[in-house]
Amino acid sequence: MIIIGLDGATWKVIDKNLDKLKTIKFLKERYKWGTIYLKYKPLSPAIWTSMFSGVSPYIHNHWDFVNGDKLIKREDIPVEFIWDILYKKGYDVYVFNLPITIPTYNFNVDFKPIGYGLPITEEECILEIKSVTEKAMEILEKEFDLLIFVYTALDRYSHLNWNSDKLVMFYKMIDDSLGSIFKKYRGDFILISDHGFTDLESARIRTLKRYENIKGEHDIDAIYLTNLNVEINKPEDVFHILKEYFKT
Amino acid sequence: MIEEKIKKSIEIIDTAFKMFNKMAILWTGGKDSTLMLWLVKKYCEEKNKNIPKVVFINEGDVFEEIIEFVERIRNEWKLDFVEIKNEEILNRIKNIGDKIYVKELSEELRNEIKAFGYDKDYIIFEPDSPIGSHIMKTYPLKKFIKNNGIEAIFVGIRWDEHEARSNERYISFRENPPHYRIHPILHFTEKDVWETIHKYRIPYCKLYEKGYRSLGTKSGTKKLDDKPAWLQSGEERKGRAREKEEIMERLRKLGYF
Repeated sequence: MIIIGLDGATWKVIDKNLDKLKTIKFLKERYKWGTIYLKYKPLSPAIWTSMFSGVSPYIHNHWDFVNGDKLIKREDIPVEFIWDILYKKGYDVYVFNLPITIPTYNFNVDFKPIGYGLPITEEECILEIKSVTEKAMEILEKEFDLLIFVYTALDRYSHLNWNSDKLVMFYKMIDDSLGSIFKKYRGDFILISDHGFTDLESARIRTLKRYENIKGEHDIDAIYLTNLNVEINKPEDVFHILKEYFKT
Repeated sequence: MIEEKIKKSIEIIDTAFKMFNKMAILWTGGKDSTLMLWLVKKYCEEKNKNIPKVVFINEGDVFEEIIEFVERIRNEWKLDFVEIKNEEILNRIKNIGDKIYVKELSEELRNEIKAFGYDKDYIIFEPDSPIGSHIMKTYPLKKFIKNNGIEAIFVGIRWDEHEARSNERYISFRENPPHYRIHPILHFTEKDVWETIHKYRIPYCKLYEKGYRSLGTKSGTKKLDDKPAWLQSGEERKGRAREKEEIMERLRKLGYF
């Protein structure tokens, strides 16, 4: 089973450009997909944490990467993640570049995040796609039960380039990478985002604290696409789907 | 000026040799402890004494360049050398970030972790975290001191490198296990260290030439500049804490902070 995270991916961009995004188009035409409307503030650390722990953000209370001037570490997040549970039971689980913390979190994987998991420049964002894909391909060579990884650069790129052709190009680069991953891997998968995106001006919710040079703001429309016969209504559902899947 | 400082160091070393029988030298392969080791060696050669046993702690995240350097010098200087490490942990982990369940560890190590005040049921392997540094460095050293009946250990710290060190004395007592720390180069500044190294052609690890200014663990040490260490200015240990500042800057640029 693999879970591929696309931080900040939204159908708003994908559907308008579906003909350019061949891999997602192919998967969307065959498998189950939907929108997850978030019932809480669309903040990445909170959502990814809930998605893989089954615990609501109101309970784990991990909303931000930073508390005061302190960077939050894995140990500060009071939850047990699905990989903690499966690893103890002897499953081969691999997790990398997960934005529950900065630097992004790895479990059982040696991965050096680009820009600590906050790629900003064009080069860094493109380099992330490349290095995340390469690391995923490397793990796909091994025997594994669960692999989870996230392209964080999509979120960073959307903040800085919302509503531009550049952003569509960037989606296409990720789509190409998904193409090479699915060429190699034919097993069960969930493709998922933590939140959507929208125009800074018309955003329903403010998640950002500063707006200089920022064009896009988070929105409550996250996406999912999976070959499993499941419905995902909230991020926490993913945890329960995985628990069920591995019968734990 | 540095001649005075060297003289002061030699006096401390002489005092230590008069006070203690069983001593050891803590050597990290960094510039400071290499200078200290060179001073003790110089003293011993002049007084026709044996150089105390040299201890190198391998915390599981050492630069290859440091290992090469340490190997070369220990042979050239014919040192009585020992490498200590926490094998129990190193046998269990493959990478930085790996998880270690406390309940699977030996009773001795579990007690040590408990005594440190750590109460989570697992540890993420990071040699730079407080608990990581304790189990990978402090614990093996404590064990070594205890098992070998070491009365005093030479440590190459300096007053100017860290605020927390500004109150250190040349010779100070430590409990648990009871032993003395000897700090012969406390009064050297970073500049003095390089001046002495260059003047007396004391060997140093080539990472300093490549811009590393202060060497810690491989994953925790960043270089801030490509200039050799002795040509840089600003805070010496900054490379070790730079990461957080850079992250904050990135979060600000993305509007998150």
